[in-house]
Amino acid sequence: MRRLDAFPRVFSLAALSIALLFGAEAVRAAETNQRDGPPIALAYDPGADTLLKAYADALYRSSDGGQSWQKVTIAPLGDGQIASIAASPAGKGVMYVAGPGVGVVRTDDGGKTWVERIEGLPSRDVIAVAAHTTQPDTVYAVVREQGIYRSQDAGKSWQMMDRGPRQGLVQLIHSDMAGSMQTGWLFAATSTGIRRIMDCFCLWQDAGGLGSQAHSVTYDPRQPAQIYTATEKGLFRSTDGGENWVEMTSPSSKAVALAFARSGILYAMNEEGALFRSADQGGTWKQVNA
Amino acid sequence: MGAMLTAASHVAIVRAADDAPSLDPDSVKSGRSIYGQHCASCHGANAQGAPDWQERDAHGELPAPPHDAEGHTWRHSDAMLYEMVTKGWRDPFNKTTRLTMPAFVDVLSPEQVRAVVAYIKTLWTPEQRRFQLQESRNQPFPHQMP
Repeated sequence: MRRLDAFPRVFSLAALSIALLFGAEAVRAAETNQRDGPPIALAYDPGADTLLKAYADALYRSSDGGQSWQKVTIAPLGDGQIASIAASPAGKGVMYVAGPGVGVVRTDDGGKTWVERIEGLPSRDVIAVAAHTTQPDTVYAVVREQGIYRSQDAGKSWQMMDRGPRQGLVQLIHSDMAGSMQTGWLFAATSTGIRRIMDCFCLWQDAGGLGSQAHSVTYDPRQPAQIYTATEKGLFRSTDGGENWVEMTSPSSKAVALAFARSGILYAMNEEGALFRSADQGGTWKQVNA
Repeated sequence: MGAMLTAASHVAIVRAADDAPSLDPDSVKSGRSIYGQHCASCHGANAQGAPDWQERDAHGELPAPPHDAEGHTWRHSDAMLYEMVTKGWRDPFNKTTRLTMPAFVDVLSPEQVRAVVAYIKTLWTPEQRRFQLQESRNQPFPHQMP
């Protein structure tokens, strides 16, 4: 009990030390981290022009580029955990949240109300969700140890499409990069780097030879061949759809989540929850005031 | 005897997909012949694909994939297959500039393309046939569109 009583004092001293060393922003990030745990995902909703960030048990939305955040309540979350978020092109404020114990939930009013979308999935053990870039009702869900499921009716029903890459998938995104036999491409952040497949699920391929745990992947929707990834070895950029990668400047300690905004701003969040922005494709970074 | 064996194997192939949508036997027969003439040299006499088709070759190109149940042809709608056969397709990650799949628009008539696809469908599992049918509902062959 004495240990618990002492905790706030210890934390305050730690926060003061961090403030003296790194400034108030680091304290705010540390406090958020203390409250929500490490960040899980970052996403940009082009319809609503909002940035989204997720922790295992909380979702936040920002309409000012990450300067301030509002918590979004997800009623069906229950004891489940958030693992993935995806904004849909279906309209302003349409997005999906997925995670173990949650399955897939969808909102079409910016998070005011949520609806479960699990009919046809083998379990709620969903580890990633991705929205199709151009087809508003198409969405993908990755179910642990099962594979990738596709829905073409906004999650009302699902169909098994592929077993998926075997190497620890942590994030899946859809891209409308040219050259697909079908309608686009899927990029997966995995334990060995980035894997890539046309959205017909024809053949998984390594996207370059990163050979490192990838935590996140995103792309520039204005130039879809420009892919960005945050890996255990640092941040990397590809200008050719993931064939070749160049290491970028890292904004701070290990970045674990990336998102690209319509305005051309690349966002990176580190494992402490601090947010950084780059207006020059990752050439230089500036910390965002939270 | 040879003719009997050929006929028997043809029946077996059509029966393999008995619980999938039926195919026009004349179209399948014609497609088999066209396939042998124009496709088999790359995709294999039995549509088994080129060896190591999942890995890029020395030119940095993906070899011709199988068209049977081991490949991914069944994942595409009729419209998409028609387009790929007629217009060809280039893997954007090929290290050469040539088409990965040559264009047959000046070689095969629309009916011949449909016949080849009909033959290829006999090589898929019933599940694959049903999936492909579903994919084709909104994306049929071009001249089947309203």
